[in-house]
Amino acid sequence: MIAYDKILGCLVGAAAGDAMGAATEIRTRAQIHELFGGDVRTFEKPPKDTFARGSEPGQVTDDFSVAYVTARAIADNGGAVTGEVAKQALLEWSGVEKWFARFAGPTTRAHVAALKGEAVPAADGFVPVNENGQSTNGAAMKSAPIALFSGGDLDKAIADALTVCRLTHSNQIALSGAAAVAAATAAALREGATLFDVVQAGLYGAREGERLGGAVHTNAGASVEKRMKMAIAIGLFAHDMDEAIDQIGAYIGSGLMAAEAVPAVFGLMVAAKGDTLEAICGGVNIGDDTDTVATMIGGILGALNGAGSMPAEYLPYLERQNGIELEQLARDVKALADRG
Amino acid sequence: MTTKYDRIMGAFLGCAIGDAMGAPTETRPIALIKEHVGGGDYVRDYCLPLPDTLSAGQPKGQFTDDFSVSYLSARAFARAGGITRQAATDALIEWSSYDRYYINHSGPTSKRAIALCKGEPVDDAQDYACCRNAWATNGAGMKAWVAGVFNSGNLDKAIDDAILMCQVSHDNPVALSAACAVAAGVAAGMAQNSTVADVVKAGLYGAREGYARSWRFARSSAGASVEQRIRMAVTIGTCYAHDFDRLLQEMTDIVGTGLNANEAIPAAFGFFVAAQGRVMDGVYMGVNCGNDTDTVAAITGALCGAFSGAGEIPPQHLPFLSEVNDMDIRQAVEEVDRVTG
Repeated sequence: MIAYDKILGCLVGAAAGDAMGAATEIRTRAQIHELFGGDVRTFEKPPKDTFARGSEPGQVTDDFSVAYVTARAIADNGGAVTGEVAKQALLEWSGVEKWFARFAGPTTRAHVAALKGEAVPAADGFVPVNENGQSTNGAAMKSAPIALFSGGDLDKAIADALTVCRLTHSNQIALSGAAAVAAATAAALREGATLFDVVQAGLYGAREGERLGGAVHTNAGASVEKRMKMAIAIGLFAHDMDEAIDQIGAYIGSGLMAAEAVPAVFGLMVAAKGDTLEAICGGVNIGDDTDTVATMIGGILGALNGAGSMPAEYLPYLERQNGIELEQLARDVKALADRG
Repeated sequence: MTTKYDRIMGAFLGCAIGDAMGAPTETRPIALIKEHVGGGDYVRDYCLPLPDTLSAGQPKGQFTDDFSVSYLSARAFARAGGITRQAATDALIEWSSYDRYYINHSGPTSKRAIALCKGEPVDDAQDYACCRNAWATNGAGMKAWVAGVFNSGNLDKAIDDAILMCQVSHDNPVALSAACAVAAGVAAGMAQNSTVADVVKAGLYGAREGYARSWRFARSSAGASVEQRIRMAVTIGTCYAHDFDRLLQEMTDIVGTGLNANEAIPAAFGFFVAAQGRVMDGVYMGVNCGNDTDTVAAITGALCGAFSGAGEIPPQHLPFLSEVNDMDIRQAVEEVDRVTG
């Protein structure tokens, strides 16, 4: 039995992290402090010199929007996570200008073009053995809400994440990141789950995602699992959240690559001792790809601690600012979960 | 005693061997380097690049961007009597006229810089962004050893010269931090009686100073710290110096050995320590570490060569590489030796 509050918490947390991070994305932590006068803890209007320029406070970017559209499509499909549903959802999402055209990352963009038959092959027919630049966080960023259909089963969550994500991120590093987030979310959904369970599930997911993803394609690049362990250690050693944010940002990084953003998520969750808002705030203020780090944290800890761990006004506010129906989706997911 | 000439030659050859030997292993992970390139073992010689690598079609021993950019820059600086922004720009434009380097081997950041220097149109769709984090690549760090060679023992001048040299192509604090780490590490290694620890300390100083100095004028960028990642890499290099398999795996898994400046350059310092500055040992680590192997091997080779000199490098490399690449490496070394007094 998965609690409704956990399902809703995952959605609200993921949306909140993305929207809050949209204002701080691409900056260094020092630049965030300079512009906003300290750590950002509310929904700010994104400045003019960042990707989300022109957005209103509380509006999400690619991270949560693609997750939302995909989760909605899966729910409408009776909860079955299939490649076809994921593909149609991706194409539907890519038609929404405010989300895709403005925000889609490099790997997603390239693969959506390929799905639409718009990819341009190299003139000389050269196909490189690896495209190591595609080991990005665009798979992991959408994986927490997808795990809502797992019923708390780690292996199902991992399999579902790979089904959805391999359309756009067909390499073992990006998929390791996706599986880490999916498994952590699945563990978080279980009744009585602890932060320790979530971290162990995340490490299991990273390992399994790398193994299963290796059958798809093996890129060269840093290991999500090993960097997660390092980030978790830093999160444990740090004296306070402030130090943890700086140290994780410096050693692990919080950028576009899956082997930075995903480990940072786990380090920050540990440093915040599993507190939903503290950890989201860590992601929002770590610098670089803040919205992606924060959306993953929000999705996982929202599931662990429930929607009740966030201010009540987040839900109506995020629904209003984005024209999305989180409560309806949570109810539908819950009904599907109860049906089993 | 190792002469200045010998150390300059060591840096040139270390970079050259690393680049040429790493070209066929580039972009693959360690396991596939062994399986596809090394015939089941690590690669310790020049190989023919496979059709699915960036160097496809090149003969054994041909350079990519790493050494060729460095070489042309060093010669331009020798002609100018020192490192100037103008000479760096001229060298970059000259380099882009060589199809065999430019077409397959120009990195994303350098390509854009060259277009700007030539007054050609570039994609400016994201020019509004306050940070360009994808530009923090290792293309500055790969050539910055030249600034170290020109400033034996003078870390601060090496740092300033590295910025002067690399700002043309990599105008952001993370890439320049990495460049200054390499320049300062090489400058320290060039000095008589330097130790491995001196080179590491200089690298950390260069990373810190390079970031701070360039932050004041460069286009900003967010990213993991080159300085802290050097600390991680040196730790791994120290812990696994006697376990080649584990050394390479931990370095590529944890520090990373990729295109980003905060991966490839720290990894090179880690390998420098593991090899204790021995050129060929360091080069073999870079060649086999996976991902951006040629760049890691080239930087490791330059760090080791400046520190140890060319004395223990087998003599066949210089004539072989000079001939395959139609470059007079010895003359370039003599020019740099002369102009650096």
